[in-house]
Amino acid sequence: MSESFLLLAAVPAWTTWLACPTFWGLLAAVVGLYLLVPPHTRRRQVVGGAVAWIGLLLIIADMVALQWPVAAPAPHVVFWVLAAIAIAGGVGLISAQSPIYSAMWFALSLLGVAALFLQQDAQFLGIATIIVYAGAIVVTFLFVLMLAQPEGHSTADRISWGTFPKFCAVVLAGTLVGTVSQVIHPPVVVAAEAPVDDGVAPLESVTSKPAAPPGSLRDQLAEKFPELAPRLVNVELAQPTDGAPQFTLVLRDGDELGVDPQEVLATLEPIAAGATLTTKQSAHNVQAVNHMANLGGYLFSRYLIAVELAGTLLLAALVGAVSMIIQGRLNKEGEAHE
Amino acid sequence: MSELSLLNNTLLVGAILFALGLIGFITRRNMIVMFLCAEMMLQGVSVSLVAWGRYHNDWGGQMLVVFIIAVAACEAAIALALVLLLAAKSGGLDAMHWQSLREDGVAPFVDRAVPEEVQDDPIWPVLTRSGIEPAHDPEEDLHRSRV
Amino acid sequence: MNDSISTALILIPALPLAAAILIAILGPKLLREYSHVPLIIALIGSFLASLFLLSQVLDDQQIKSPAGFEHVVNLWTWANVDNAIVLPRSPLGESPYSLTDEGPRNFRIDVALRADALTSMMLCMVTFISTLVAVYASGYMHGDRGYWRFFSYIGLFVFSMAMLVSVSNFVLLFVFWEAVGACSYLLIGFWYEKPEAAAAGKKAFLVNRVGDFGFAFGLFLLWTTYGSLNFHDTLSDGSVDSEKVAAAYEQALENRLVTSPSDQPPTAPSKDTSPAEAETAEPTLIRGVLGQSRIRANDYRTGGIALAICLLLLVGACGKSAQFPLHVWLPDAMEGPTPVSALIHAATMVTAGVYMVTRCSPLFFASPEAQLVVACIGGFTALFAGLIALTQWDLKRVMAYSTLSQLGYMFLALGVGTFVGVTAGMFHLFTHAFFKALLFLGAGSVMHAMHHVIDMREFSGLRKVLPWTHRTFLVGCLALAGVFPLAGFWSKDGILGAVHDKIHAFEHEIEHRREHDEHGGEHRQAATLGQETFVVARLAETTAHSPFADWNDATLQRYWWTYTLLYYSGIFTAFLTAFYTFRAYCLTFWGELKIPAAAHHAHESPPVMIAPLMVLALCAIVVGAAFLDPMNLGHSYFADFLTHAPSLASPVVEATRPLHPEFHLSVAGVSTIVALAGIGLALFMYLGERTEARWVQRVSDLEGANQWTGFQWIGRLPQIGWIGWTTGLLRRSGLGFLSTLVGLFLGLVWLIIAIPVLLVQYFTPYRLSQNKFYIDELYNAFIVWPLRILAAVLAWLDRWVLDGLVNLVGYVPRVAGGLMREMHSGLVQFYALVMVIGVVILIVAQVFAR
Repeated sequence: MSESFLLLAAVPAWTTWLACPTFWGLLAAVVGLYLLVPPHTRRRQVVGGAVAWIGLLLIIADMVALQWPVAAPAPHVVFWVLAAIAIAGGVGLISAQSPIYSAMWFALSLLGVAALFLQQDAQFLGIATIIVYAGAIVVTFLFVLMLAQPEGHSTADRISWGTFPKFCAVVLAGTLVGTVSQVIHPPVVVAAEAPVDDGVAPLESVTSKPAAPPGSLRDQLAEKFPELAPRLVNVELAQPTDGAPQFTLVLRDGDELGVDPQEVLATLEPIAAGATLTTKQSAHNVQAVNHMANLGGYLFSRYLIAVELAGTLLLAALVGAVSMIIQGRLNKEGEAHE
Repeated sequence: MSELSLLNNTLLVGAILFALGLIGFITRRNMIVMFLCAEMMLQGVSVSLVAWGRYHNDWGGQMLVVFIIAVAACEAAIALALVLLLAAKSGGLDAMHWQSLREDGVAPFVDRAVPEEVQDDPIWPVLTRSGIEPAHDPEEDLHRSRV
Repeated sequence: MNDSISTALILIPALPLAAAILIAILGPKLLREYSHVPLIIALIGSFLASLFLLSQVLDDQQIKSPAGFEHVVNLWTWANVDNAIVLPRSPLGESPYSLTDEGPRNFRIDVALRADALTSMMLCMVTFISTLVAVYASGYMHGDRGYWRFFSYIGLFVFSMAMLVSVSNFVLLFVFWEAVGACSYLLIGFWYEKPEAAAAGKKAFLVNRVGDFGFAFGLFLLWTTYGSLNFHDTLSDGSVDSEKVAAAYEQALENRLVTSPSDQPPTAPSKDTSPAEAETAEPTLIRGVLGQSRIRANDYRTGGIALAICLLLLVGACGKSAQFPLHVWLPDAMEGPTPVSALIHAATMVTAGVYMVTRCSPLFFASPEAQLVVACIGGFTALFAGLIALTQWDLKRVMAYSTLSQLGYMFLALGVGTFVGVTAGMFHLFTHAFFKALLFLGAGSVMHAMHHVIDMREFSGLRKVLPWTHRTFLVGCLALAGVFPLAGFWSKDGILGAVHDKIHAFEHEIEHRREHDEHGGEHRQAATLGQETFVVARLAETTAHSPFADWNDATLQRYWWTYTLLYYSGIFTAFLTAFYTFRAYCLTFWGELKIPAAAHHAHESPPVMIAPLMVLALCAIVVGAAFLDPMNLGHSYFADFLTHAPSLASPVVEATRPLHPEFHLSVAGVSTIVALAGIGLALFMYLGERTEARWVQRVSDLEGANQWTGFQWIGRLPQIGWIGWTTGLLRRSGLGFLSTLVGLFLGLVWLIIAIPVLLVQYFTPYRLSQNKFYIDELYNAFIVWPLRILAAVLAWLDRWVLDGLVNLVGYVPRVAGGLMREMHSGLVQFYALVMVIGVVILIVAQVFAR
């Protein structure tokens, strides 16, 4: 961290940036969002929306290009469509003039996010998000909106509180996303530098290492044996000092290997020569078939105290909200009496 | 899609969602919208957490999201109660109304130019034509027996 | 028998202290106007105990010890620091009893009281006077708001004073030296609402600090020189048992004889002995500075270090006894209540310096130069204060300067450096206490009747109004003036006689040296044969050579003429004393009856005030002659009594004691004639027509005539028609600078003419005396104001530089906070924005800085 103050020296050179489509995409998205947030005019919204979409597409395209060639295009397409829905909902949230519309856009975004959850085999979360957020929270919001602002819109919705803060906000958001993308896929120039092994190596360097961690071993196997992919949870590599290295294929609960172990070993040969291969069933697996049962089991065993605490918090919030409302009403009555 | 790609893509999407919430929270003045934006940021974080959990084959990510949802519900309850009280006091949802909590001697924030509300021309519903237009007598239009 | 001495010695200070505490606790609520009762009872008890002590000492000291009589009571150990100093080897003295001080010494302060002749005499005097003053004050202070406070302070003072004269340690002496100073401060500023009283208290306190500074340094030097601050001898384990001490002394002498045949120092306590061994070892003798063993052997350092010690102690004595450079506080101290002036600032506290010098006689006898300085300061102060007293209008101030003058006499006597001189000084201290207390109390009685008016121009002819005050005051005046056969006559005559003897001794030595030069070799015989040469003779017997033997002729000559000068100035001071005393007496009690407006019904003081006056008057008459041998007026029982005090029993002091003391009729005659002349002149000037008043009128007329020497004339110049016209014309014609030039020239001329006129006007003898020789003004100009300017500069530096630095430390965060404060705009989203900026900076730094 001692060099962290030499920030500018570590930032990639501007030429690297110019060659990076994500950079241009981010730039476009920032400009577009700047135009989209209030104050609104129709022209600004049209132009801003277009520019923002172009930016988003550029970013997506760059991501896809970086991961090219893709073995199975369908999941990518699905993912990006869902992501685009979620993002579109977010953009709508911040750019809609009426808060009612904002809430509706937020609901749309939630749907996209829920779908993303589903795509990542987090079924419970996907459903819970829809039920709790879209079903309960957003509805409550709408109620409150109608209580507090029955006319639907006000002056404050049409304007922001300053141009400079607005500018700062979009630039900061862009910087944030840019930083994350930088971490995900660093520009080539940076990747060429020898990574400093300080224990927190960036993800990119992890993938490029010869002795890759099990996650990427699993990816290799999944690409080689597509039929194995849904069943293969993990690949573990044990390298004892006095014996041959041993690979352990962790399979989904209740699934068989289904392919020739020798072929698998042959695929893994360049990583560890003369290794043996075993399989085992995954005891806890986020992608397990009995997902809900596992989740519930964990929730009420390992995370029981946290659940209790969350329950207490909910109760406290309930009591707090009710008491606040009552107090506010009492105050109002007091004022009326006076 | 490989696990790594999935993680990378999801992280990016989470970051974008978070950033959008951020922009909204800072630029929008409606307290409800600000609150929605905060929820948006939570969503971004949730997405990232689930991706990390999947990548590391760990339930922690999903658990955290469960708790995020719980906390968000509490937050919504409290915040909405507060918003209602504040709205009742100030007569509106504008967060700038509460700037009187500033330091002594600091100049108050005043909106410099409030633009006119965009009055779109109302678009009335138009029924599609159907059937044959009946013939009518122009004379009858001009000279009605009653109004 | 000794136990009873101890009891008396402890009771004497304890009773007033107990009374003071009792009054302080019960006074404000319970005792109120009876606050004097416990104190008077306690003081009477103290006085009786003092008389008992005196009689015991008189009895006990008949069993003669080699170096006087003392009785030490060791109460407790106050401080004890092991091996605080290691004394270097010092050469052995010539006496066969001499020991050397060598080796490590503990810094041991025992709270020890010591009874000897000097102490018991002082205790009797102090308790007697304070009893009378307390009785008097119960009438004088009647109705005062701080009645109980007054008596509490007086009790505290008597305690401190009794301790001062009876402690047996220099550190404790210093402690009670300060304690009486503090009481003095409290009592001068008794009426603290009065700004003058508060200022006077402060002045007394500060001036005394100057003296105490010297005193403290004297103590340091004593410690490093003698390795002890005790007066008395102790054993190394702190025991003061006289038999054991004597045995240890014998042992030490034996060791010296055995182990050091000639010039080898005796074996001192070895440094190598471990503490355990040291504890089991036989306790050795620790010789006090004024202990009998040291005095007997006269083991005192001479030369520069002796001079330094003596001069530093003298500075302390000068501060407390208000001698010349530090005398300024005493006249101002008259702002205190009159009983206080009588008790503290005339009879007791101010004599502490005299007591201390007497107590340290062996030290002073080791340094003739120091004695000369003592004599000079005393003689000069006597003359100087006498001159000032001539023209003061304030009755109490006349008495204050008279006190200064008499204290000067005492110092002169101490500076003579003979046994006769020291005892004469003490005798004068003794008699002076009575008649000066009498005079002050008489002045207080006048003040009481005149409603606190004390300016002698405001009243006159009071002899009918205050008959008893008048009579007792007259007795006091006669005693002070030194009229036969009152107390002042004998004691003052003793002092002048002592100086006279000293001069004679010098004259004899000079004569004798001339004879020696002429005849050679026979001077020793001649010295012993001379009739008036007791000094030389006695010294020749004890130390086998003349005290002046190693003095060269020039030194001898210088000493001779200095003492001669002091003698004549003493005679002249006697004249002045008589004059100003009777000036005050006449101005107050004679002439036409005049009473200030404030005192519309002046009346004689109540009996409770008159009675002490009468007792004191009686004392003032008899106390001088009572101690004389009627067969030989030169032989004083008082001196005989003091002989046994260890300090005065030193062989060196003893050597200067005449074998056949005689009364100096010539000196007595001269001083009587001079005193009568002074009285006569005063009566001539003030009895009938008041000559001085006429002179003063003339002087003030002169001042009126001299108003044109002031600056006022410059302002009046333009009023003179043609000057104004001319300057106006010049100014209009653009030549205004010419009038300026002329004005500057005139101003210069005026300065050259007027300054001498002004100076002469301010430095006439009358003005000098009236304004106390401008000593206060000199102090103001050369000490007070430079210090004030320095203080102002330092205050400025402190205010703007140091405080500025400190404020800067506080100001930087304030400025920083002020900048941040602007950001506290009340806009929630702004806070969010700032937070996000910080977060993004951290994230970016974390990501890119690897």
